[in-house]
This record gives sequence, structure tokens and C-alpha cells, in this order.
Amino acid sequence: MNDKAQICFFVLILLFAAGCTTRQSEPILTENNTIYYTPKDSMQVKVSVELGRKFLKATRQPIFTGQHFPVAKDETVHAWVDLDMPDELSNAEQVFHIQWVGTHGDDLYTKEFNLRMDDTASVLYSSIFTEGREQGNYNLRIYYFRELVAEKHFYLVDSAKYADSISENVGTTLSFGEKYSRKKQQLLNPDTIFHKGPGKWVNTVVRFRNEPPFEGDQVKFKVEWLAPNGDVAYDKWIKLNRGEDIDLLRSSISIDDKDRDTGLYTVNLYWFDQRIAQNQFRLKPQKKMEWLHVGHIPITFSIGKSRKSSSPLSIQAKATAGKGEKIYASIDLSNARINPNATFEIQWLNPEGIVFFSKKKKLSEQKNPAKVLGSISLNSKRDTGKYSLRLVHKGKIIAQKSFNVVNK
Amino acid sequence: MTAVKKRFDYIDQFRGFIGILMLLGHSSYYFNDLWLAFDPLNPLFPSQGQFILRYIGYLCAPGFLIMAGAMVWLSYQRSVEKGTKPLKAKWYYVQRGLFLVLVQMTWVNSSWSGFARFDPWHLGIIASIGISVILLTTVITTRWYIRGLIAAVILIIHPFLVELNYNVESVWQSALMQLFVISGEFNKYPVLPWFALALLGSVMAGFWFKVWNDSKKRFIYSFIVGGVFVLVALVVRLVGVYGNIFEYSEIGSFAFFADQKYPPSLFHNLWFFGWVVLFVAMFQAIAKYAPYLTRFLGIVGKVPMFYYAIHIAILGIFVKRFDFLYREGGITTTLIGFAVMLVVMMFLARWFYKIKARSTNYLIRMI
Repeated sequence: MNDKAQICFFVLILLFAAGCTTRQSEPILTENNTIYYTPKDSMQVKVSVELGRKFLKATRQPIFTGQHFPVAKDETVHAWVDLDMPDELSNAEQVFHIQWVGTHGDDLYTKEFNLRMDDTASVLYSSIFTEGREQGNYNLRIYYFRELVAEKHFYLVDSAKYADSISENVGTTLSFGEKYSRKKQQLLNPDTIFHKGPGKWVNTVVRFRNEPPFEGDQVKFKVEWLAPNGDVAYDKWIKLNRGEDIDLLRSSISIDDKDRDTGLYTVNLYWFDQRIAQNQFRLKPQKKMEWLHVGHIPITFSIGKSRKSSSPLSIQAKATAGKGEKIYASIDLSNARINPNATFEIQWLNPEGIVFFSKKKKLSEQKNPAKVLGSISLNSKRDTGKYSLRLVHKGKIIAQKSFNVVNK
Repeated sequence: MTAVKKRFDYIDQFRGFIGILMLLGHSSYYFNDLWLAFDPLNPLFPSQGQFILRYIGYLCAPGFLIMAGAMVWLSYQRSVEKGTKPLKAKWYYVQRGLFLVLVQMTWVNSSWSGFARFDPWHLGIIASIGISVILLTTVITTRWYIRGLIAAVILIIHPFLVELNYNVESVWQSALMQLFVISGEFNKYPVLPWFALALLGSVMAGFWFKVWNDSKKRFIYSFIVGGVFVLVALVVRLVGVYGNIFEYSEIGSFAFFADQKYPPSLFHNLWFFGWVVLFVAMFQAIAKYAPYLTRFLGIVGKVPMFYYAIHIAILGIFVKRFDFLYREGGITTTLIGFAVMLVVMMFLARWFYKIKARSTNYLIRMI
């Protein structure tokens, strides 16, 4: 009986010798999707794991964090493991391992760390390149001595898919509008379809759900406007200093330029070299202006070096470009049915029908309210062809007349 | 004669027990996906189940070396008592040692891959046993305390030898270091620390088979010796630094028990020597009070070499080479694979033992 009792004793000792885990067997899922085996007592080291695609050089702060990373040349997945080591731990060497596990459960790379309590380092760092690796589910495991304490899955994806996921992660939206109100700090009449026109602009405003961190006291973005043919129509680096409202990230392009093609424009917002937002708008040809009939408004042109010495141009007359010469226009409003305080815009159109010069005038500020005057220079650089002058009131044409310009 | 056979029975049963634990460990090696990312020289355990599965196998190598030492001593004594000249008896063990090295370099090394390649140029546990058997012949006639002292000296200086600087670029220096002191690609089982365990096995054999001549004595004294070694091992581990290779976080953790096996630290050898002696005590007690419990283990323990060589070959061919569940499962798959293999190996071991018992063929007697 005595011997039997001793046999039982042996069996119990054997069970003890099988080793005890210092962690709970059921892990928890932390807020940043780390599978974490919590310690059984407070005297144990705690860890938190972050994966990122890049980090800020100044602060080594992880950026583009998450669980999706692109497979591409020079692309890297960085891992940072924050350690919380209780003061009660002895100053004996603390051994950690970071193990990168491949899609088939294979060991890609294992890095060992030996720290002491008096070491200042409290972050373990390791990284792997993604180039040449297959897409799929990978795993990062953190071991404290021989025991798994945390693991985090991550996915290597096609670089295009990654761009979408990071945009979603940062939560950036990019909107368009013709006008931006500084007072209201928002776009007026946001839209994605715009018409070319004199003095018209497309504004874009960026909003963030999760504000990207500053590098030092600054954060830099690049806004890139792509023309319908894919060429960069305009790009600009925008630097924001700490304290400035990051929500005011804006950019704009003119759409009255004759060189601006119609079609689908794409605007990309980059943070470092990562696109974090993208949106598109369609630019259409200038809308044809409607007529507003307010009575007969004669327009007369004359040509010369001064208005007084200028010679009248007949309807069919051809103006020839000469040095220092100008075309003078005189618009007679005496028979027009209009408000004396009304505002007009004189628009000069080139042979392609594009407004190349315009000027606003208020009738009440004119010396002679019944007569509006305007002029353009006529030099050898001016294209030949049919030019027009039109008078616009409340967005509609109330008078228009053409003349021809030819070479001498 | 009957009494001698009974002593063999519990030794056979213990050898069978560690053979079965080894099968469990090797089933894990072939079926368990842990091994896709597992480095035995730097083991990291994702769960307690995986730790137990791996750690159980740690008993096998010390068990085989200690038993090899014990059986060489016993067989030598019996041969000499029967009238065989000492030199001839020793020559038999030199041949047996060389045979084991040859088996390692030919059959065993190739069987791991299911004979997909012939890979003779590295050694392993069987070669280490073989060389230890050869070395044992040089001291087998000395008194037990001389052999014990040699073992102690080897175990004490081995931690210092591990720290020796050598030119890793030099093939010969690396080969020599790996043959005797450290572990590497050429040899994971360096002879010196494992030979020390074989020496201790030969020392224990004198007491098990001669001095402690009744069951109760054998049990109590084995229990005391095993217990003392386990306690000394714990002291070495708790004091730390000397005799330790891996650090640990706290007593009772995975890291505390799983000190380096390749090469074995002083703690590893003292700890498992203690446990082997305790197990032998337990098996001889079971053999007395409930022999039916462990009788089946003797089937494996009577043909350990055959069992070792065949089970790896079967796993290598059917699991690895035919890619049948090779490292696709976890603990459950491992246990199912182990159970199936155990049934197969029990039949094969019984079959081969019958052949071996009536065969006079030199090679078959060697296996």
C-alpha cells in the first residue's frame, strides 16, 4: 500500500513536471486585433503589438498601421512590440522572440531579444520585406522566454487593394465644389460635374476621420490633379504645421484655361508616398450662354493708338494687328430696359470662343451710364480670326458683336 | 535465472515506455504543423499542449543512453561470468557500437526523408549511443565510483567546453566540436554529455542488478538516488548561470523545464537522469504490484533498435514522402497518427522479436 501511494506521488510529480503556462490558455482580442494571452498574475510582462508599413523617422512612431500590407518592391512590414515590464521583475535577462510565420505556417524569420530591466529599450522591433512573397494570411508571434504571449495576423495583398484599404483605414474623404466659403469652412454646392468657364475653379477639400500623425511639428501631403489623359495637370506639396487645422487641407485648379481638356479628372492625395484618398470629377465644355432681351444695344468698334484717334471698323471690317494699337468698343445702353444700378461684365472672346479677358462694370459708377466702354490691345501676338465682345448681365448675354483680326 | 529475467522485464518495459514516448514525439514531428516553424535548438511553444507533446520526448534520449550503459554493464558481466574472455566480450561491444554508427549513417539518416535521399554525412542519437558503447568498453571493468567520477568530471567540465572558441569555418574543428561537445548540422547529439549518462547508467546497473538484490531495496534506493538528482538539478537551475543554457522567467514555466537539449545542459542531464532512475523505480514497483499494467511495454523494449529504425522509416515513407498529412494537423492529428503507428509497431515488434529470439544470424542479433 505504501508503495502504491508512492507510485501515485510520482504520477503527481510528473504532472507538475509537465510545466505550467504563466498565461491564460484562452486569449483575448485587443482593440487593435492582437491575440493576447493575458498573464495569470500582475507580475508578468505585458505586451502590445503594432504593425505598420512605415514609421516617422523623428519619433519612430508607426504609421500606416493595420493588418494589410502591399506586396511590392522595397515594401516592408514593421513590427513594434511595446513592453510593460513590472518593477518587481528581477534584473535577470528577459528573453523575447519575434517570429514571423508564413502563409503555410512556416518560419520566415525569428529574432531574439535579450533585455535587462535597466535597459532603456522598452520596444522590440523587427521587420520583413514583402517583395516576392505570396499574398495571403501571415502571422507574427511574440514569445516571452519559451511561451507565446501574443500573436497578430496580417495579410499581404496586391498593392492596388492595399491602397484602397489604407484609404479606408485613414478614413479620408475628398470632395469637390466650384466655390469654397472660408467663413463656413466648407464647399458651396459640392458636385462632381463642372463646366469650363471664364474665371471658374474647381476646389477640393479633404477631411480626415483619423488624423495622420505629425512628423516633428509638420505633416506633409501631396495633392495631384490628373488630366483625362493621365498626365499630371497640377501637383502641389502642402505642409501643415502643428496647431493648424488639418481639416482645411485644400487645393484648386482653374477651369477657364483653354488648355484644360474636358473629360474625367482624378485627384489623388498622398501622405508620404501612399495614396490615402482619391476622387474624380468630370469637366464638361463651357455651357452656351442664353440671351436676355432687354432692347436694342448697338456695339461699335474702332481701331487706333488712342480712342480719340481711332478709326471706326465697319461690320465686315478686318482689324490688322499693329504695334501699340488697340480695339476700342463702345456699347450704347440708352435704349436698354435695365436697372441703372445693374452690374455688367464685358467679355472678350478669342477665335476659339474662349473668354480671354473680362471686366465687371457697374452702371452707376460710369461717367455716362448710357455708354459702356472697353478695349483690348491688338499686337502681333494676338491670333488671327474672329473675335467677339459680349455684354453679360445676370449670367445671360444681352449684346454681342464680332470683328476679324488678320495679319498685316 | 527466473529472477534475472524478471529484472530484465522491468528494464524492457521502461525501454518500451520511452520507445512509445519517442514514437509520440516523432509522430508530432511528422503530423504536427508546429514543426513548420519550430526550431528544436531554440524551442518556442505556442501552447501548453504543444509544450507537453514536445517535452515528453525529452526523456527518451537520456533514457536510451542510461539504459544502454546499464545493459552494456550487465551483458558484459554476464558474458564474463559465462566464461567469455574480457577482451572478446569488449570486442563484441566495439562491433555493436560501430554497427550503430553505421546504421545511423545509412538507414536512419535516409529513413527520415522516407529514403528520398542518401544522406550519410551526419550523426545522431544512434551514433552517439554507438560511440558511447565503444567508449564504455574502456572503463566497463573499473569500479562503479571510478565510472561515476568520470561521468561527474565530464558533466562538470562540459559547460566550460561549450564555451570554447573555435574556428567555425574549419570543417575539422567544427566536426570535432560537434562530435564531442556542441550541437549542429553535423551532429545534434555530441558524445561527451551523452556518454556521461551512459556511464551513470552503467553505475546504476551495478546497484539495480547486483547490490540492491530485492525489490523493496531497489525501489527505495532508486527513489532516493533519483530524487537527489532531481533536487540537485533544481538547485542548479535555481542558482542559474552555471549548468544552465536557456534563461527562464519563473519557476514552473515552460522555460524553467525546457533548458537546452542540443547540447544538453548540466541541468538537463541531472534532471532527466533523476527522472529516469525514478521511472525505473516506478516500473519495477508496478512490475511487482500490477505487472499486467506494463507488460505490453516489454514488446517494444525487447527490440528497441528495430523499433527505432522501422517506425521512422514508416513515418518517413508514408507521411513525408507520400505527403499524407505531413505537418498538416495539430495535437489531435498527432495523437491519432501516434495511436495508429503504435498498433502497427506493436505487431511489428512482436513479429521481429520472435524472429530474433530463434535466429543465430549475426546481423539480426545486432538489431
